[in-house]
Amino acid sequence: MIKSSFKLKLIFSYFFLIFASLGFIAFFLDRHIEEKTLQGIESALLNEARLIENQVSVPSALNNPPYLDKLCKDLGLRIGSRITVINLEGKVLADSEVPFQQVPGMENHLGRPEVSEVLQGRIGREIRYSSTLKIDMLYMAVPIEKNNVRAGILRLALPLTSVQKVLSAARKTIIVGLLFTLGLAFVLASILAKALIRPINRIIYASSRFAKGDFSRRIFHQGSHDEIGRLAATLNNMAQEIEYKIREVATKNQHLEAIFNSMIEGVIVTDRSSKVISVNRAIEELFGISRAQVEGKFFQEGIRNSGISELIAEAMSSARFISKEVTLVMPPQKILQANVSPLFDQEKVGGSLTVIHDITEIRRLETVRRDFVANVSHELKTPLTSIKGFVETLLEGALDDKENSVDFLRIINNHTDRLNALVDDLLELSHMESKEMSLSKTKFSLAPLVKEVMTVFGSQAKKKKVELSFELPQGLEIFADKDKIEQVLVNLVNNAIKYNKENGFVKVYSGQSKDGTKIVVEDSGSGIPAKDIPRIFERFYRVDKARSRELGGTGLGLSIVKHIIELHSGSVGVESTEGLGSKFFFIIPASSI
Amino acid sequence: MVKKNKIIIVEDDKDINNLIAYNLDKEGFAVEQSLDGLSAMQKIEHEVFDIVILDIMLPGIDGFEVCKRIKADSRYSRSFVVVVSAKSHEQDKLYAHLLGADYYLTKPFNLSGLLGAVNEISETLGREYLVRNG
Repeated sequence: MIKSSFKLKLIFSYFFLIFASLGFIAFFLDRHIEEKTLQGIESALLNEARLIENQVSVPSALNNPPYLDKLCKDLGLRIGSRITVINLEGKVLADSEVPFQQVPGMENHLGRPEVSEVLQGRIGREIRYSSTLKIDMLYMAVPIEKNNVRAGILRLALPLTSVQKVLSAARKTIIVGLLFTLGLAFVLASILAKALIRPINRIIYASSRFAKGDFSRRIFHQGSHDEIGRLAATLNNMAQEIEYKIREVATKNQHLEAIFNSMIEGVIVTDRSSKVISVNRAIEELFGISRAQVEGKFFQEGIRNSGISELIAEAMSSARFISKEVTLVMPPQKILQANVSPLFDQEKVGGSLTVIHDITEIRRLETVRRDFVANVSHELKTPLTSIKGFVETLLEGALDDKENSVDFLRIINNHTDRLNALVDDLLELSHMESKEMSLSKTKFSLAPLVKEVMTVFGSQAKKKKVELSFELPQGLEIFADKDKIEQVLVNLVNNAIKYNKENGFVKVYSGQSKDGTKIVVEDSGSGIPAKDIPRIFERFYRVDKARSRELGGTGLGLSIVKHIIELHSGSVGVESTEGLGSKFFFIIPASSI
Repeated sequence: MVKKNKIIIVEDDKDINNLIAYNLDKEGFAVEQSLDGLSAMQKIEHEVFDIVILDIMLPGIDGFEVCKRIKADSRYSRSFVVVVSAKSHEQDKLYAHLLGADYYLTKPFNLSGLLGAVNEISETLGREYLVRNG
C-alpha cells in the first residue's frame, strides 16, 4: 500500500531511471543486431551471386536466353532468392520470378541504383521496397565477366523477411528481459523507498507531536549521520530546547502566579474595554467574589464598584497613573487606596492595572492614635486644671477660708496622685507598645502569687467590706513573666474591689481552656453594660467616667492587662451581667518549655 | 446697683465644677451647677441664665451641642456662653465660635482670666440693663 507521494516519487524515479537506461541499451542492441544480421545476409548473398555469376558467364548460357531463363529459375528456386540477369544496356535477359514470355516487356533496369553502381565498377547494393512483392527487398548486383570483360549484370534479390524475423525474435527477448527487469526494479525500488522513507516518517510523526505541544518525544535515528539523521538530531535538539524553555516559562509563570496570589495588595488587570482579565486572591477576599465569577466580565458587572470603575476609565482615557482613596460602602466599611496605571500596547492604551491597598487598618490606627493623643492631653489637662485652679484660689485668699482650704489641698493632692498614676501607666503602655520590652519568663506557681496580691489588697477590701478569696490547684504553674502577671492580677483585683458593692466578694480561680491556663477574677460588682463590653479594654474607655475618676482610675488599667497578656500570646476577655457582677479572665498558653 | 447675674456651670469634672462655683460664688454671682449636657439643658429650659460656663467633652450631649441649642433659641438671645475646654485645637475654637460661643478658654485656665471674662460680660449686661431701663 502506497500512501505517501514522496515514496511514489521515489519509486517512479527509480523506475524511470532503470527504464531509461534499459531503453537505451535495448535501442542500441536492436540497431546492432539488425546491422549484423543484414551484413551476414549481404555477404551470403554476395557469395551466392559470385557462384551464380560463374555459371551464368559461360557463353552458352549468356547467349541462350531460354537456357538462361531456365537456369535462373532453377537456381532461384534452390537458393530462395530472386535472380535477375541484365545486359549492359539495362535490358532484363532473364528473371527467376518472371515468366520467360514476360521478360522482354520488363522496363529498363539501367536506372536502378544497384545496377548503376555495378556499371561504375562497384558491387551494387540497395534495400528498396518492392512494389511488386510489397516487401522490403535487399538487392545485390555483381558484374558478369566473360574473359575479364564485363558482359552483363547479375542481380540477386532477397526479401528481408528473414532479417525481420531474426530482429523480432531478438526484440521479443529484449522486451521480456526489459519487463522482467522493470518488475524487479519496481520491487527493489519499493523496498529501498520504504527504507528511505521510514526515518522521514518517524520525523513526521515526532514533529506532529511537537506541533501538538508534546515535546517529550525524541526521534530515533540510530545515530546515522546522513542528512536525515542530522535533521532528526536537529529536531531533537530543538524539541529539547523548546521543552526546556517551556518548563522555564512555566516555572516563571508559577512564580509570578504565586507572587500575584500571595500579594496583600489586590490586583485587577483589565483590557481596554474594562473587561476583567485577571484578579488575585486579595481581590477575591476584599470584594467577596470568586475569580471565575468576574474574569471575562466587565469590571462594573463583575466587581461592582463605581468608584474604582471610574478611576480605571479615567486612567485609560487620560493614559496617566491615578491614585485615589475609595470607600467601600458595603459592610464592613473599608477604605481603599486604588492605584490605577494604564497598560500600553504598542504606544496605545491596551488595558489597565489596578493595585488596591486596604488602608482601613492604617486609617483606623491613625484614628486610634489621634484619639489617644487627644485623650492623653485631656486626661492630663483635667487634673492640671484642678491643681492650678485650686492653687490660684488659695493664693487669691482662700487660705484664710479655714472651712475649705484643707479640702482644696486634699483635692490638689488627689489630682497630683492621679497625674502620677497616669504618667506611670502611660510610660508602662508606651514601653510595652515599643515592643522593646522583653519578657523574663519563668515557670512559677500561681497560688502563692495570687495570695500575695490578695494580702496587698487586704485592708482596701476590708474598708469596702469586700470578701477576697481564691481557689487554685496547688501545683498549678504557668510559664510567664512573673512581675507582669502580678501586675495583671493587681489591676484586675483592684478593679474588682473598686467597682464592687458593700458586702460583695472577689474570687480568683482557674478554669479549663484548650488554649492554656485560664485564670478568672470574678466580682459581685455593678457589672458592665453589654454595649460597653467590646470596648472595655480600649485605652481611656470608661463605663462611668465620673465614677472612674472618683475612684482614682486612669482609664488605662485594663488596657495594660490586655497588652501584657497579648505579649504572652494569650487572650483576655470578660463575661458580665449588668447589676450582678463580672468575670474577667485571661489565658496564658501552655508552653512546651 | 448692678444686678447679680445668674450663672450655670456645665462641667463633668466635679472638682473643676466646684472650683469655678466657689470662685464665682465669692464674686457674688448666683451659681447653678450641672455635671452633664442633658441636665444642663433641662435647667436652662426652666430658667434663663445670663452666663453659661460650658465644658465641651461631656457625657451624653456634648458642649458643642449645648452651645448650638442655646444660641439657636431666641429665648436665650441674651445668654453669654463661655467655653472652658481641654480642646485647644484652632478648629475646635473656630467651631465653637461659629456655633456662637462668646469666649473660649482652654484648660488649664487662669482663674483670673475666667473671672475677668465673667466680670466683663456682667458689666456689658449691666450697661445694657441701664440703657434699657433708663
